[in-house]
Amino acid sequence: MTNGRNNFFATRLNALRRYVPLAVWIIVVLVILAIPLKIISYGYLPPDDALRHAAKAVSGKPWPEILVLGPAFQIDHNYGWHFLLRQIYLWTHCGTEGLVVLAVVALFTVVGWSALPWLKRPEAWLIALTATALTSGVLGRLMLGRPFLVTIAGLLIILFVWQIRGSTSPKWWTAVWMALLIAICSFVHGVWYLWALPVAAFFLAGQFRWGLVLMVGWMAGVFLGASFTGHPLESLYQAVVMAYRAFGMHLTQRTMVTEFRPSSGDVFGLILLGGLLILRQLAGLKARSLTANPAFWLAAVTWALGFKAVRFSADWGWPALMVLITCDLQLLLETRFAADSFKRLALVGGLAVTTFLATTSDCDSRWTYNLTQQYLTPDDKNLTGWLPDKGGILYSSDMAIFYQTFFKNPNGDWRYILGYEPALMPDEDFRVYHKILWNFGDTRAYAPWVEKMRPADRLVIRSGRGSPPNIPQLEWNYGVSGTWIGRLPRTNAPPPVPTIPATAPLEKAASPVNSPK
Amino acid sequence: MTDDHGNYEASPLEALRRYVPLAVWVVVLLVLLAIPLKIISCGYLPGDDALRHAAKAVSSKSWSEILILNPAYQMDHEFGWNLLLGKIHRWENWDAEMLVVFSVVALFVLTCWSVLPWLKRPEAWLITLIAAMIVSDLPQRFTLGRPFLVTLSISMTLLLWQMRDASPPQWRTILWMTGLFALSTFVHGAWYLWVLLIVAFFFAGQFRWGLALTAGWVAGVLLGAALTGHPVVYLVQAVKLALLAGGMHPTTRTMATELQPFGGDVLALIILGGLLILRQLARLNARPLAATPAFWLVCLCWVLAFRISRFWEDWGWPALAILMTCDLQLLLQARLAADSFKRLGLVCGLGAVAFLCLTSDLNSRWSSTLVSQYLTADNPDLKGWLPDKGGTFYTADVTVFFQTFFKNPKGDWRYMLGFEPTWMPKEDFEIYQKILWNYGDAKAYTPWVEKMRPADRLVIRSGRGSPPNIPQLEWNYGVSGLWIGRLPRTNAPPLAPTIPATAPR
Repeated sequence: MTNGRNNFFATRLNALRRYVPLAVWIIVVLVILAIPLKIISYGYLPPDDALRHAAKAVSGKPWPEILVLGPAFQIDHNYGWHFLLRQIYLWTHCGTEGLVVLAVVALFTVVGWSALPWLKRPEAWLIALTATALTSGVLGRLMLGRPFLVTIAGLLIILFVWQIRGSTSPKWWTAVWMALLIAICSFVHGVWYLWALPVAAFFLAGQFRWGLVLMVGWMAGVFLGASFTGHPLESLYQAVVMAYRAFGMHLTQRTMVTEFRPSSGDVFGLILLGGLLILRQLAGLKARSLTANPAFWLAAVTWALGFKAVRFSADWGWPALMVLITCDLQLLLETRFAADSFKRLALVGGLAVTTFLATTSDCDSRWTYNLTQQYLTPDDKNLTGWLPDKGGILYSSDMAIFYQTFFKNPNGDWRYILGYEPALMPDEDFRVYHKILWNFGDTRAYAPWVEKMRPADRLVIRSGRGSPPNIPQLEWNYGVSGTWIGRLPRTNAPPPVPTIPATAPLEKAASPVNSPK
Repeated sequence: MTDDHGNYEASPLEALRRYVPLAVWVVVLLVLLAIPLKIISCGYLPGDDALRHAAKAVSSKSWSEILILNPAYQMDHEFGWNLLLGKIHRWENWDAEMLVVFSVVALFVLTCWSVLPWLKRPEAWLITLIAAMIVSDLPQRFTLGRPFLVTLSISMTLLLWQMRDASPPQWRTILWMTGLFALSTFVHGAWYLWVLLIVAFFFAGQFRWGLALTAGWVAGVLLGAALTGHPVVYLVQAVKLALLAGGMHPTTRTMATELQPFGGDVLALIILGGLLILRQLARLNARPLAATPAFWLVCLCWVLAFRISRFWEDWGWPALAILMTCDLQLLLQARLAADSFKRLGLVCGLGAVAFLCLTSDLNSRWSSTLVSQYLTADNPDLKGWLPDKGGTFYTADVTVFFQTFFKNPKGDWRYMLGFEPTWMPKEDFEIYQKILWNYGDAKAYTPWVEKMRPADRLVIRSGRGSPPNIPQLEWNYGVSGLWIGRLPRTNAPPLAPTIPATAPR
């Protein structure tokens, strides 16, 4: 009887084994989807470009109507992404916040899922994702909701396809799909020239045929993508000019946007790579030699370039390293676990929980830092008269002010002197901006802007509640927490002394404290 | 005098070899004793709970006489530890500072010595401590002088016990376990956390040990709770308090630091990876990790620490330390004879390194409290600035509570904020939460300011430059970095929010 019962259970269990691979796929796909949903549920909003992309889509205005721009600006370099968001907005009327949430969730999922079709063991990707999340800032970048994530997804697809098909020569249709993929990336993201990096990596790895095919696909794709904008040459030229100005106009890297500053060497990335080498040796993995792998060369080249600008390693190097990690781990898992074993299912369950917790954990408030953020909005009665008037200019040397204010006021009828890239400002304003940053925000450096301010304009400076910025030519209001708004005095009286007025605006409701709930 | 083989000096040395193991033990024991003594000699005092434990023992008061508490709090949740310190205070007449010194030294020694009886090569533990000190805060937690160290010692003991003796546990083993669990429950209170260890044993396939632990845990917890005189209340309250502490904060930022999530402790993972490589390269005859409860405890706690870092600090890292120690012991056994002089030389070197590494005052970790200034009644500048009798001491800074209670155990006022914010009355917790939510914005203190009575005081950390922007109160720059506010004592309008002309300090 006992034997019979045991056999019965064994048979039933064996019958279930065929569902293990399916269950693994479902778990991995769902975990990757659940991660951005959980993070968004905290109230997370990205701090930078995702906000302005969404606001632009809602505003429906071209950049020259939003920003005070110099002659270097000719065409929107994220044309495709804004077009897509605008269409979504017109269909759904979902508002800026809805668009940002959509961008964050969709783009994370696109990147997370882009690796899966090329893997036999998708759990290897979960491990790579976790390792990357723990040792680098890449997870934060994957949650930025910005169109460069489309480029990362495209890169991952190309590198993974090579991992499984690299041993054979590429076919003619390889160039076709690569061209389409790169066309989408160029249309959406705009930074077409950086695809030279993976092309170089293929050549450095000695994968000449694949390198040639990728180069052909790149050239065709770039022109195709640029053509979609309706201004192919301007679009391509603009991207290069912007990169040149963004790097070339700063005397030191300190005044550049954070992601253009140099990397300090990413030691943990090197440790991961070293770990892979040891793993290959100790586990006897039959992996392809690193020097023949374009992903390795891309990681190596961009690691070196990262000492110039951290974005090289963050957006190109780390994805390449993730591909290396995933492929080696896949080999290891294939030798250790049968595809349909219940041990594999248990492992995947544990990995899914670990990945989910490691990525969604609110360590150092990384997903909730923005909950206490207060915005300048016209529906705040205490700000009546303190936002720029019609046709005015909002002066600020803090890009976050632009992102946040434009995000909350997409239809505001004023323009911003500083937008998402300082190098796009008129040259004279850039010099003022640069001087402010050079002097670590010293209020005297604002003088040229203060001198040309009109009654409709406002100057916004971040500073604590204690005292207003020391610019006595303006009258000041502690607009929202940590933010002072200055305007030209509205009376003929002399400007107020640079101290807190006797009416003590500090204590009035114009500066409410946040409520946590 | 020399024979043909040059053995003139060999014989006397050979006779001394038998003392090498003893010498090794003496060196290790003494080093582990010397470390906390040296640290204390730097003037070190822990920054948190050890201070209030000692102060409570001196005060002889219950927590409800010390703090303003919500109804969830019914009894002391670290009953045994506070009882022990109270007894010592009465027997020896030690003051709060002496009790803290005792706590730090005794608990450090207990923790570090607790692993030694199970080791054949105690120097492996020294290496582990050095590595842990370099890459983590673990040995620093050993110096906190808090009763969780009793629990930590017992968990390391149980892990090592099982690793040394893989045979099925005897009934006597269960009795021992019961005693240990009872001690932990009585002294520390967080009885439910032992589930982690039990689960780790089951995950490792050590079912008999897992069952024995379960039996010992159930019996031990009941026994430990019974010793408090209120077993049911004691056990239920521990769970309630944990749920409160973890569940009342909308974001982790406002929680106590050790309840916030960790970032993954990559260095610990690298150490684990290093152990795997060591096992392979040195061909250590170690038990497979998957059959080792310590490994599973490491994994479980590492994952859970993405919610609360204490899982990792108090359970995961100690388990990793046990894994390291056992593997290093195997390596040392394979490389050095137990009675070789090389071993003695190595141990002396390790002892020196461990001592220097752990006692090094890097970043003023052991001497930072020397510059702490306390609010004390015997400071003439503070006359009238400490709460009056029956008053309430308001602050949103837990450290202010720890330090002020430590220096004023007999103070006849109560503290609004004690060692765990969620134990405050609900409405006060909401105010406290709002203060933290707004990064200490003075305006968020308004509800407390409004209900302050003349006997009450509000203490806020801030620089000497200007007092907190709360003009309803008059302010005194009490001691360095601390402003004390009280209701104005005259009918005159409130003072301007500036430093008084007399510049108190």
